[in-house]
Amino acid sequence: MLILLFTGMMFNTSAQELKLKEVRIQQRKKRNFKLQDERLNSFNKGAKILTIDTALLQQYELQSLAQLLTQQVPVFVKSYGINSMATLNFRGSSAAQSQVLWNGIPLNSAAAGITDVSMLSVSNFESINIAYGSSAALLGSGNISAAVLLDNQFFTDDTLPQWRTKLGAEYGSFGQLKLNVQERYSNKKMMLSLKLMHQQAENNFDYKNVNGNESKMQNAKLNANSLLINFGYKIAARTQFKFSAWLQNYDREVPPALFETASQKRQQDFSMRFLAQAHHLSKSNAKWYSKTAYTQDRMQYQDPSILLQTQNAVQQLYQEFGWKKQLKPQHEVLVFVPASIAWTLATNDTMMRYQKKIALAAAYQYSTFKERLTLAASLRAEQINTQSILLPGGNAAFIVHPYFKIRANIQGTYRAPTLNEWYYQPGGNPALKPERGLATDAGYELNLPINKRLQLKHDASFFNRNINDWIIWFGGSIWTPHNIAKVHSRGIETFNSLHWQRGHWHAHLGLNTSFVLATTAQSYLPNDGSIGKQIPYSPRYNGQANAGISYQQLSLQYNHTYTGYRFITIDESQYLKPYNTGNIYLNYTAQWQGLAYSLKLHYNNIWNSSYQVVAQRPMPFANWIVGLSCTF
Amino acid sequence: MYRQVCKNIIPLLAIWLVLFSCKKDKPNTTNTPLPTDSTTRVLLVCEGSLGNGNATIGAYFPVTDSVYHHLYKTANTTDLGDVFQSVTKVNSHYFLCINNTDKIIVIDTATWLQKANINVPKPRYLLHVGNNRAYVGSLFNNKIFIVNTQNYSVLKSIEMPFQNVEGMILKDGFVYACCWDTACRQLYKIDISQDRIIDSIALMAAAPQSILLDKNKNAWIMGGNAYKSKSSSLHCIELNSKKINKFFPFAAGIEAIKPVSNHTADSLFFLEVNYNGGSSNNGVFVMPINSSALPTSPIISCASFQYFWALGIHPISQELYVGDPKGFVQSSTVGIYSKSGILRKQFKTGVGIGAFYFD
Repeated sequence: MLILLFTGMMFNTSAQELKLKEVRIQQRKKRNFKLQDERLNSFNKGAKILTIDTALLQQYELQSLAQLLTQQVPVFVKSYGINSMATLNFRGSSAAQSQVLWNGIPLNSAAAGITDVSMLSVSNFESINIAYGSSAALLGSGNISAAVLLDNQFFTDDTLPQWRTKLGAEYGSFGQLKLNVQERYSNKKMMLSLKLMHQQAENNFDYKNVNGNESKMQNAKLNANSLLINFGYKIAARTQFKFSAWLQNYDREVPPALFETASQKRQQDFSMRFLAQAHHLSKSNAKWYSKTAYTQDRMQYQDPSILLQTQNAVQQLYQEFGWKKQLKPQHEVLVFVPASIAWTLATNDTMMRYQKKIALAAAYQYSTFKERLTLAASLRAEQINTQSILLPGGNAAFIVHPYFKIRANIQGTYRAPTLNEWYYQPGGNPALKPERGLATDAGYELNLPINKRLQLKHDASFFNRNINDWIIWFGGSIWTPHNIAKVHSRGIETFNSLHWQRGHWHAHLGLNTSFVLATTAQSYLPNDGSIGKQIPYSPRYNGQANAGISYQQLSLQYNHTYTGYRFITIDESQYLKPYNTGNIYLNYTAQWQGLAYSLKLHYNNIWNSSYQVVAQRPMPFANWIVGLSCTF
Repeated sequence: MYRQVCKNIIPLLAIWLVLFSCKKDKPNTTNTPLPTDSTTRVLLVCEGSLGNGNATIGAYFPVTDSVYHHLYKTANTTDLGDVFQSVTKVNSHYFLCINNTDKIIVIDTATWLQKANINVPKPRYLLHVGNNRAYVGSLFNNKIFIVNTQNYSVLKSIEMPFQNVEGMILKDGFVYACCWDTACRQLYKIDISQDRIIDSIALMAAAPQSILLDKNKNAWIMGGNAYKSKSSSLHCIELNSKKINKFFPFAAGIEAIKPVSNHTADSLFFLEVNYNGGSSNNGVFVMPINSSALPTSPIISCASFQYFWALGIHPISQELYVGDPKGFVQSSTVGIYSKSGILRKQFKTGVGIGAFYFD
């Protein structure tokens, strides 16, 4: 599965260069846990890290992170329908219990606590990893079930100045149109890249209405633009500076739910993110780093039918200083101080609301038995406004055999209430306490070369987590969050793949499965019917099967996803039926007149499933996207 | 060696993958039949949870002590919609106001089959005013829609000075209407022969929401909006003279809603709701109409993280029907209490019980 197709000499260099014969290199990418995040790199080896390989990143570059995760990762992506929000549910968590980090800084809105992964385009990132389980001592509040790590590239291995331009266009069903321009300049000292994206869609797809008749979706237009700039500069041999700027604007009409005859709703999201990083490796091999980020998320929501117009703007300053040192060959230590302040003035509120966090965290790693056994411990003391929290954590990994590795992770967890949960008007609850608990997981990884052409990979994770003071929003027309429950989540995830290679032929089969029991263990609600019942929108069963074959530059992939029953109510009295979707990806790359072309065809939901991920929000039937990109 | 290992491991993996999932996924479902009972019934108006489209109508038959759920869906094989606000019987039909689905669904009282749909934006309550006509108030709208209860059409609308027409009563050929708007401090009098406002009565507090008549034919008006910082209030008004006989302001932060009167119309029962999870000012309160002060303690109190959302008094048994929506995130509970507040029976119903209709 982990195949990289390096088409050499893709860059059009200066005229004086030597004309080298084009070389095509195919190799299996080695398992590499080197993450950009200093905190996770050495001190979290006992956690399951899933790396989205380059081939998959290319396969999904036309799509959103929501689609990539839905089809390739054991996670339930709660999509409120096309052109609407999509949030993450790893291992039976709430949306605010999973983190999304961009180059190490949290993308989760400080106001809502969630990240809308439908607004994140896969093509914006060079590396995507998922750190399963909790690493809260390292990553902080909200890292209860998993963290999605989205990273950019800041340097290349180029020694000569290189310009690289990539132009892409795609067109698809329902008037989907996406245009991409990517420009990159690099040399041995620096790299500057720019990614510009425009996206629009009518999204006027057919769906089955409540009477079982086909209707055409109304009020679902999309207009989005994004600009991402990354700059990396090597100030000296041991000192690097990185800067990123990311502007994004999404203007979405919100389509009617099935129970509505029409919708005039509209949501506009604007985000602005700036990040500056400095890294210095001292002569004593101590690594210093600093991250400073400013983010701003503005959301405007209108529904003229109920005279509703809300505006929500939240700003956040994030600062982190860290020091990492290899004390002896077997010992490594990290000390870091993250601090953030978020503030918002919400509609109907009378004053600016703040959330301040400052922490002192330390991690230590010890490796022995010729680095086959790695032990790590971490501790975080954090102050959130007036509340203090101490979080310990530890993990271990052991390479039993070159083909077999085991791992385990234990972590105290917490999630501070978000600004909306405390102060949103109407409904906010200033008396809310943080969700706190303990997360454990363990697993093994088998990486078995059956013969020189066939390779089997199998990975299983078992997790168990208890969260106290779980926050649930409830109410009639006005919803209010309360700490009302203790939720016990446990389950198993497996990742399995079989890879075959012969000459220019490659084939793979993959199967990812997830079994999650996330049930209410205790509740403060009188006569609560939720005890022992699965929490809403947390399917017990979820899985993806993949099959693919490629020959030289042509590849064909089939993906099949299954999502089990989702309950709408906390007492399992109402539910949504399971659904299956099948998706086909055809990709062809070619070189012509010094340019590298890539032609992609995506055919989604080929079995024409009529399904809803979230109640009353229909998803489209079969649809397609065709894309062409050119790199020079 | 590899082959040996593979021979052993691959079958084990296959078995493991099949066996690891051992929890039955499919929920237990029971088909609920339609009632054949012809005795008196209590309709259970279940709003559902906002945005989930899971409103339902149920029925409880006190004589046979039987409960039926999802009656509309069972009869019509489709969902009712989002936020079922109220039900009114006109002749042999029930008119169901489905607030967030922007329609009034008309169903047959015997078969539960749908007869018609009337498109009205955000309908709240329907008041039959005779001559096959009914007034319908609308949320976020400054109109009262007049619908024909015979051919199910919207005839016209009456422009109101404020939006959110909620409580309405018919008395002596006039409709008295409450505009539940935080800027409104009037009760409006509408002549049903002209379908226009002919007068108004000044109130001492804003946001009137509910209105009912006592045994002396005086109107009791309850209003307020805690979330919008408008304290709840209760007026007693002599309609003909427009005189405010009594005025009771509630303490700031108290949400008093959904008043009903007993069969002798000499006592008011209402709910106080505490949305913040506390148990104070939370429960069913009773107040004789000749009382000179608001009640301070409930006859049925709520526990922490609980509040009631539906209240009714059975016209024959005089029992109190109290609905606990349990957060609007699960099946509601209906409690039947004696007049003095002693629990006699409890049963479950749909999500978000919001009202009872005694037929």
